[in-house]
Amino acid sequence: MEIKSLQKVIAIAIKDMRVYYLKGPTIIFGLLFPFFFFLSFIIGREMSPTVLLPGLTAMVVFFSATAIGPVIFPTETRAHTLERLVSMPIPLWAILLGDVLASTVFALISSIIPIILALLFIPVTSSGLILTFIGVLIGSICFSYMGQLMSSPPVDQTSTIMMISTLIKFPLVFISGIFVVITAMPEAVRFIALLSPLTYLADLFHASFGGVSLFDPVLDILALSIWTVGFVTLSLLAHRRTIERRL
Amino acid sequence: MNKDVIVVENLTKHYGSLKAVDGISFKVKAGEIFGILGPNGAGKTTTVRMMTGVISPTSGSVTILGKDIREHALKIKEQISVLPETANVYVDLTGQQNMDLFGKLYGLNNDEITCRSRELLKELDLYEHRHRKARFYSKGMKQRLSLCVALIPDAKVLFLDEPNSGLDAESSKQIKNVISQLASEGRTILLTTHNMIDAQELCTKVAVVNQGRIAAIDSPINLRRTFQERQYVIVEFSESVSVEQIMTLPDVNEVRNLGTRLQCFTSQPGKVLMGLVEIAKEQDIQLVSANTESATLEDVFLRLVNSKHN
Repeated sequence: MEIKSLQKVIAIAIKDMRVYYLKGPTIIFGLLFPFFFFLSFIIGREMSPTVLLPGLTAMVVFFSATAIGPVIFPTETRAHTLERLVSMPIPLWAILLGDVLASTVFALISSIIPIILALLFIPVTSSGLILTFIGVLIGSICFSYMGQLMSSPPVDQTSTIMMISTLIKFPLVFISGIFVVITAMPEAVRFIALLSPLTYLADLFHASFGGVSLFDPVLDILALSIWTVGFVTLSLLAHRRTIERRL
Repeated sequence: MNKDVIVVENLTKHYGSLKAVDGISFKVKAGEIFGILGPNGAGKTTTVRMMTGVISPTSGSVTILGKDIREHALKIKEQISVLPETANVYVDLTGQQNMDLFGKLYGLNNDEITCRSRELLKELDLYEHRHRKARFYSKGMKQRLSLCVALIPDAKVLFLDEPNSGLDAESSKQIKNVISQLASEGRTILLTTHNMIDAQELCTKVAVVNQGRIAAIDSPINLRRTFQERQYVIVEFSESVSVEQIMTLPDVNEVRNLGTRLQCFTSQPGKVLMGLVEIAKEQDIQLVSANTESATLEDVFLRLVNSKHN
């Protein structure tokens, strides 16, 4: 990537941070939602931090990384700022990358709290800590592109995209080993869980926080990488297909 | 001889069965202000969007500065400025932050952005407001900021889509002054408008577009000359004279009643004026006032659009 293209990507990301970080849907779906969702699950149950915190961290990364993507495109369509961006000398992939960069940074910042909790309550090894950082980073990128892909239908109402994204995100949370460790799931559900990218992130955090994991961490990272490439490709193709209908 | 900066050939855009733009062709020479004039829904914005690489044409070609827009969209976008009709600035950013963002997207460095921003924001009376969020700007201020954003790269070719749409007189005048100044500095400008007065005052050449097609293309003065029969005499008598009586005069094509005055369309305003004096003498009444006018671009436009409809 040329330096000028990189500068343009960063400029888009800074714009997104200034405009979208404090938007209602971002705060609600990215920060408050995972917190209360998790709280409602753990209250009244006796579970060890080794079981709880990998799920919490994965859920925070998942929800915060998928919170901004669905907001940007409908909002920019409605505000007619998207046409202005498209008329600029910047390719579509760079606009998408800029949006993903902002979304990734949001997820990285949000994940600080569960990581601090993990460090406080679990004796995480140095290799576990490195794996955690890799997981947070790759998970943030992967789910940022996933959120962006979900915003590809050419509508100008954030609520429409939020409805679509909620329909996809909710089932994923329940089948991906967030609340129940995959090894404890019935065989049929475990098979479905393998089709969810969130499974590999939760599994990676279970491994890095010293819990019971299903796969080798390298395999989790590989699976997340494949999902990321898939989401990048699908997002670019989908947005390329629908962008004209937004104008 | 000035070379062609923009060449549009047989440009077409279909949305399903709807032909939004239907085989438009024209050329814009260096230094010209070329106006695309037409009613809402005529296909002006779609044409500009295709010319600026925002949407793809169904068929036809657009060449800007010798390069085809389909093959060299990014290269061309680096050399042109676009003020889209409906496009807005970011209202959650300040005026300066908008300038910084779009300056970066045009590939300018920080010094260039600072220098150009100061110059443009001062010229359009926004410098004092540059640290306020655009959300708190008036509509006129937002549109002026939008123009500043479009002008930040100092491009030689500008596409301005309805730059004065819905603005108050003061903001509209400011924007027209800037456009005139840009043209005097040798820039090539393609301007779309549905405002006849703007087209008449600003453009060196005008294409009248209706239902996706070009109805006429020429300089505003030549378009008006083409419609000699749309010259008219506006006359006021001390007592009422019937439209039928005026129609008996030779060379009068049409008479419109404008309250106490009558508007007589003719290709021979001098002869008609003399006939009107004769009527006043015959009826022993006074001719209070009489003015001859040539066709305005609005008359030409309405005539063209109506003839296409009919």
